[in-house]
Amino acid sequence: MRLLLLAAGWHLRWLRWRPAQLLLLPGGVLLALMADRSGSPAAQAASFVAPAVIVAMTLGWNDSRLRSYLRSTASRRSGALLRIALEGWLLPLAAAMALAEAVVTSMSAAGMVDLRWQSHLTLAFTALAAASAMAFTRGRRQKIAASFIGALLVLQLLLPPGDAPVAELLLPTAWPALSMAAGEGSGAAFHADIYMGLSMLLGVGVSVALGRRGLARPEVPQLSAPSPETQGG
Amino acid sequence: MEQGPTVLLRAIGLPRGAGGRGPADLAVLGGSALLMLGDPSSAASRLMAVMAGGATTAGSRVLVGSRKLPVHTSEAARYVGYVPPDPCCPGHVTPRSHLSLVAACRGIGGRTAARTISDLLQWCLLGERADTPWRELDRDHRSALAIASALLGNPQVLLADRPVPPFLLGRLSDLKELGRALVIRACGVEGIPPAVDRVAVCDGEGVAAVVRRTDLAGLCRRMSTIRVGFYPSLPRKVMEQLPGAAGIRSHAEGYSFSHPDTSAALVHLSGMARANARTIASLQVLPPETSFLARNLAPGPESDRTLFDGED
Repeated sequence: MRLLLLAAGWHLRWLRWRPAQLLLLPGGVLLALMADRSGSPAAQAASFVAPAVIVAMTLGWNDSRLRSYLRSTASRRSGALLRIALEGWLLPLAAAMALAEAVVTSMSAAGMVDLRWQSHLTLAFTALAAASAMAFTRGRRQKIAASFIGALLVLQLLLPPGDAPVAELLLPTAWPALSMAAGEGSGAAFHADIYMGLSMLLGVGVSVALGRRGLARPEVPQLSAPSPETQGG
Repeated sequence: MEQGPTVLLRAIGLPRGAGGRGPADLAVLGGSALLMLGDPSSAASRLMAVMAGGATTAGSRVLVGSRKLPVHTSEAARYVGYVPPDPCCPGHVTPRSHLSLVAACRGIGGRTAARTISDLLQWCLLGERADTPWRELDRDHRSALAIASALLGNPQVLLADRPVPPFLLGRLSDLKELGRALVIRACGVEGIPPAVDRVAVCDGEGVAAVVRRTDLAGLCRRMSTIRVGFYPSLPRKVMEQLPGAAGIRSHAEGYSFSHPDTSAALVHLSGMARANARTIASLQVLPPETSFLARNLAPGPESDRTLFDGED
């Protein structure tokens, strides 16, 4: 637990040095508020929060010198390496969940969205999928994952409301907003259970598929004898 | 019944140096120190990584600790303290905060961690620099911090893949007295600490030979190169009269040669300068290069000597 907290402290410290990423959050919320999706811009904004927080907190962390330092300090201790990997996954997930829940709860209290229990779970499982996709990848793959999440968010904003409900099933980032829209009885959305089921499948599937490799013990490299060329003759 | 020291590190099937036959085996007893001698192009650093479990080579096996655990298992990690060749921390990290992190990684927490870190900082003579950022530490203090990190889990085997700072050389003897097995790497004979018992000379391919430190000292005396310059310059004809000098070469400042007895050569040089009304303008005694030692110590292909032949 102590290592988990220490690593989280280092992670937050690293984030402090990258304020540009934190701009993703207000920028995204502003963008979402400008769009009128599912008849509820507030729901759009709420569904944008979790992926934006996760991308902001994870993009570049796995390749950072600070994380390399943490991993090299843990050396070959698999327990310590596992905790460092878990921290990189749990901290963004917890932060995203906490912030998204705070936003939707306050919106619900203000009467801006109709919140049902399925919406909470949809929000949690889509956040789980995003966190796994970002925390268990690195380098080029992580950038591709971030771009994919960003592209989904843009598509979600560009798609005319209620125009293609079936096509919207292919936009996981839109599921929390659609789940809230379903709660309001909007005809543009399917039943909230569908979005919850899909997000559950996606979240658990992505976590298992990527987590098995991301949390695995690193293999010991095998050295080969240097060739005569590398020895200068 | 009193038990003798046990083998705390056994490396089986390490690559042998050029010209050698078959793999090489190394064993380090508790309370003894082995030095891996090899220049940066040699296999010494790679072999250190293999012995620390950070890498493997085909056919090699490393067993550590009194329980003889394979070094690659996570259980064996607590028996080995490894000092990497290039320890690196973020610039703002202090020795205390770094050791706190290492302690957390090793599962040491609370008051035990605070007390252990404080003791270790004092033991490694880092007490005054405990809160100095990494970027302000000099090379020796960085090495000392890396050694402190490796020792934090109280390992039975310490593998230092970088030179030990001069102010910690005395601590190596303390560790030996505590029954720890030490493996240290050095690039040249000038970096061999006094606490070392045996030296494994490495070339680009593997372990060329293992010799006692005292034997190596004798070899170095015979293989040293002496560079001397006279003012006014001394004719080569006179220089060739120096008893025991071999391989005399002329260069801009004077001559270089090898001699079986360095101290006798210096006495002769001094006498020669006085007899010829010359002054010794420059004098250097250069220890043999590691690659030269590896070439000269490597057993011939017909030899069946093992690396343990030089041991008690």
